[in-house]
Amino acid sequence: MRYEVNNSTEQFSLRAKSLKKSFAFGDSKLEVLRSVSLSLKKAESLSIQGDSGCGKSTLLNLLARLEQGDDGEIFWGNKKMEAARKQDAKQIAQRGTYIGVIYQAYYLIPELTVFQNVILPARLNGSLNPQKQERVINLLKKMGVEQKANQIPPKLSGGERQRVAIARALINSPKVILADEPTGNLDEKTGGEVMDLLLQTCEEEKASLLLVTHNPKFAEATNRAAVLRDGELNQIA
Amino acid sequence: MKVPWPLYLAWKQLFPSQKKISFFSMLAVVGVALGVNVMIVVIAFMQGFQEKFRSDIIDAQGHARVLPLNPSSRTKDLKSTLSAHPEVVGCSPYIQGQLLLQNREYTSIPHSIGVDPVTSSEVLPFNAFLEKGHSVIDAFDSEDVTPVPTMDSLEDKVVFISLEVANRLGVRPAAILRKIDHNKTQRTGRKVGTVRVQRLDPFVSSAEWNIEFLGPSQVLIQEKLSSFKQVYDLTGRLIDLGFGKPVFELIEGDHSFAKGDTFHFQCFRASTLEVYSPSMIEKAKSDEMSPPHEVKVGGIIEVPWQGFHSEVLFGSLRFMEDIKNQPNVRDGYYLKFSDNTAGDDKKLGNLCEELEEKGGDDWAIIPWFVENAWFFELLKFEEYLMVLIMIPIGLVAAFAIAIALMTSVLRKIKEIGLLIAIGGNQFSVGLIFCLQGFIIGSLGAILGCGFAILFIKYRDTLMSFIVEKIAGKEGQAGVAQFYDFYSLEVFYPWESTESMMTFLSFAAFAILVSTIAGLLPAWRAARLNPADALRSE
Repeated sequence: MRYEVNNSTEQFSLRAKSLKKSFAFGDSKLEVLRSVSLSLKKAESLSIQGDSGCGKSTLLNLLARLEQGDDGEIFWGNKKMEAARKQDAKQIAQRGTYIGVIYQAYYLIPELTVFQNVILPARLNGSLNPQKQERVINLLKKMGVEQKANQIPPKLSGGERQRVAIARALINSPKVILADEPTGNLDEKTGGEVMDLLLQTCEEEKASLLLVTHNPKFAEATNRAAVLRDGELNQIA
Repeated sequence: MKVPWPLYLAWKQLFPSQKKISFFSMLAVVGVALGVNVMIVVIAFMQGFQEKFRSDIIDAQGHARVLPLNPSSRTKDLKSTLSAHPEVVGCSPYIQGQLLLQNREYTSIPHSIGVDPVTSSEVLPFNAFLEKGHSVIDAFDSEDVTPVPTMDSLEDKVVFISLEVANRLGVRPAAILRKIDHNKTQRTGRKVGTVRVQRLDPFVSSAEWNIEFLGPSQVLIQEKLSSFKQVYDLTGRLIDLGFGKPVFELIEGDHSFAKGDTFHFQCFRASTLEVYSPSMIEKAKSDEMSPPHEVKVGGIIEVPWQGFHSEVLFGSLRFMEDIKNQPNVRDGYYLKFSDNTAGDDKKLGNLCEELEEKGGDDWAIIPWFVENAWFFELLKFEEYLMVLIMIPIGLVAAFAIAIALMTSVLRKIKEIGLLIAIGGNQFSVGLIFCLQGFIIGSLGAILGCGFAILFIKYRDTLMSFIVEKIAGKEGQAGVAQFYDFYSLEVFYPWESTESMMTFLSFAAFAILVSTIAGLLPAWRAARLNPADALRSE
């Protein structure tokens, strides 16, 4: 079943219409996304599976407006977002508060402590205040790494690092979490724990989750699941 | 206070949490600091040399010289006109020329200057020059007690000569040694009374003096060579036997002199020089031989600046008038101004112009910095040349910083992508690397200024160490004499505006160059496509 966008806008935190993206390799052109449309309700979770190189990460980058698509429209809530190249300062700042990102390789800043890493999006956003500092502590507690607040990332295990990355993604209370294979670097058991924590926290925070994963078990744990194949997104559950 | 996040991240990348300083930061900051230190120290020393020459020239020439512009004006007396000005604190005439000196078969033709013994000390510190030139004889069982000659002994038949002239002619001023009584020194632990020489006339003869106390207020004075013998009743501390004899002074110890206390002195007369003027030599050509003037060497004088003249003679005005046979002729006047004028070159120049107008058109009044402008321009040129040579030091440090930061951009490419993904804009992300250059430059500049202050403070110790390592102990004296590091006055930034400007200029240069070094990595980081950065391997 082809994944279709819902035309009613009010209840959606993220929508994409007919996204197209291709990459040029010399004279040839690789069409990664042919016409991808999706919608994500508030506090809803959606998983996307697909073969390696099928365009899952590209789709996430397009949705976060980190990358320029060839065609299509993206809405964050009701607001249509400009193409990556046309973004103004306000839109860039909005990315920090509306979207939270989680990557497979964590991308924690090694020179900062766990606490400093988690509060970094608030610092970038200019909303560094005592409430945010308290929220960092609460998130770290929720993630079970509050004891590591003053540690630096190189001293943490993979699972701990990903928990910190989740806390960081949630610090600005984003409406949407884009998670790109968050358990890809973790063993089955740790990955499961991290995934449970992610789903649970997103639910508590009422954040929508778009999860890219290779693991069918994790895909099943989301509200809906879809597969990206041949540049098109098909809903499977 | 909220720190802007690019500055926060720039600081954290250089000084990470739980680490005091990163290896790269330490190397970069120390590199910049050493560059700044070297640049400041070299220029500070150059300025120290300039300051030394400035002070030496003023000591040797006064603040300005009045020079006659035509032969008739040399006989006019301008002293009263010049001295009347409230800013003129000293005015002394001089006569100069070349004289031929002879001692046996040795000759010398020093630059000879006749000065007024009374007024010259108002302008030039002659007594200090004589003290500098005074050397002490190192004897085995005697102590050199020759008093330092003063301008008071500059009579018409006495001259002061530079060490070069003295060495060339093999002459010396009068000297006197006191024999050491070793037994007496050992016998008494307390401070013993002694007899010193208060004044040694240039006309003293070679002699062996014996002073024996006959009682607390009576001494027997004997001279062995001339069989001079006199009982002298002490009325004060001085024993003045008259012209041609040393003046002795009694220095009381812990207890009074007692009968039998004896002091032995060995006196050496001053050398005599034969002096010929150019006119006398001219006369000699036409067989009108006139006898040379005979003068005594009154002292060795070390004038810090005589242009390039190392052979110098100073005599009295009358001596030069006589020998040149030009009575009442003045070749110029040395002028000294009040500190208020002397400290400001512009004021000094204006005052010279004002005084020049008063003196008429026959005379020119040349300030010291105009007369020696060529020399200071040469020193300034050297200073600029040194700066030019040293700029690459700063640039090398900048290149090192640029390369390190560029490597850092490549290493942190995914972090750059992440910062944009979590709400940072590309300009601010680029700014992180530019600010790192700025921080390195600023810290390096501060540290470099600190090093420079330490170097200036301990320059003698450091220079001694370096010179000794290069030239050895024997060469150290020669190097020190040639470069004169030890007497060099190098100013701290809080002591002189020029020094402050040097410190600030090089600190600003280091900060600017380091910041510019961060621009290229910053530009590279700002241009990165965040998706490409996150995707990069």
